[in-house]
Amino acid sequence: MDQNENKALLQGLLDFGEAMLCAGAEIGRVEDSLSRLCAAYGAEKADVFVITSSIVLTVQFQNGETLTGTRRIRKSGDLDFEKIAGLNALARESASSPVSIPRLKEKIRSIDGGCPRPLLLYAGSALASGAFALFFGGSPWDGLFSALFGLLICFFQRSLSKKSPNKAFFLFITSLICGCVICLLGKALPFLHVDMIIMGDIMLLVPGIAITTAARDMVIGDTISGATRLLECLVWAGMLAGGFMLSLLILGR
Amino acid sequence: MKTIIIQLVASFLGSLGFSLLFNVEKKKLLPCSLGGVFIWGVYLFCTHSLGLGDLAASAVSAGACQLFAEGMARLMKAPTTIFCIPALVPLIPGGSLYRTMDAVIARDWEKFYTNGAATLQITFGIALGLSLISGLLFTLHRKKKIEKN
Repeated sequence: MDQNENKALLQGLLDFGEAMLCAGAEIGRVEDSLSRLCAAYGAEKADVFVITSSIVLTVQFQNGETLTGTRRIRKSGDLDFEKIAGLNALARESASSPVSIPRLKEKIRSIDGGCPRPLLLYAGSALASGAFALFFGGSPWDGLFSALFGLLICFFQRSLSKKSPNKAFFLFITSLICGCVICLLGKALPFLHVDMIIMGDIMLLVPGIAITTAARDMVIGDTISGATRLLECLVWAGMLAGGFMLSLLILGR
Repeated sequence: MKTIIIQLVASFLGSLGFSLLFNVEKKKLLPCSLGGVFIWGVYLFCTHSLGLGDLAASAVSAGACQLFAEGMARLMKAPTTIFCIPALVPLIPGGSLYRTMDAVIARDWEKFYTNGAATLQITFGIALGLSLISGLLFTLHRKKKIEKN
């Protein structure tokens, strides 16, 4: 392989890592897949270092050339399992029979370009928040209203979160607005249980999955990623709790 | 009994909802949602029948979740996380987080400590269960490989 091809390969691999990390794959999986891909494309040695916010990849090629690339990851993407599965399959496939580099890039782009249908996201939000209101002991009415607020939260996530400076701010505003509206509704319709509706909707916003995976990353040795993620999540959980608490304070429990 | 059935049905729907949010492929939706029911069943069994505390019960259920996910991953040839995360959802301590917040507003510090401790214990119990079981499976797998060679 000549120099230009080596460079193209490095960029392709960084694209791959970025796509995988942004789809919410575990740190270990990203590092593993990248090392395997490097070996498949004939690298003598590959050093991969991935943390939640950055990828560093140094590849030593057989012609003696060594290339290093860094990719800064800014967005903490939402979990997208179809992407993770697709990229994972691509990594396995390429590890046994490597495709040409332009083809690899093309495949990465086609997997990464897809986005979930909005209808499914709305349905998922409503279903999850409604179900958890019942789960925590709410009445069917609580479940129904929780599902309605689930739709509202999904709408916020799709519109407001892009305009927010950061996720902490977004969570605070969203939980404040939802908390206030839920409290007012609770006063207008006394048969509703405000706490059950809030609990159902908290499940959509709380970074519960992220906290547990962060804690797991720390236990299995990806300490830096785990620790930064964990702190990030604690801040988010605090802002979320702050927003709801403020709404409860303003309007009374 | 009625609440248990409601909780199990709700955990199915909750896991299904999150699977949709996480863009799980259609044919994997059912295993992911049933995983949630299974995990919540394990948790209820641990707390009600075995009398385990929050930490132990969530560790055991998360361990069961990891086992379930690894099994499904092999069966359906897909990454483990896809089956693990949606099934974990019913364990997320959203309820105790709310009760912790509520206690702060009410300035009920005793309730704050018990609910805050429950929230933390469940979170770290889940992490512990997941990592111990995945570590165990990794070691067993390695051992097999070494023996083969």
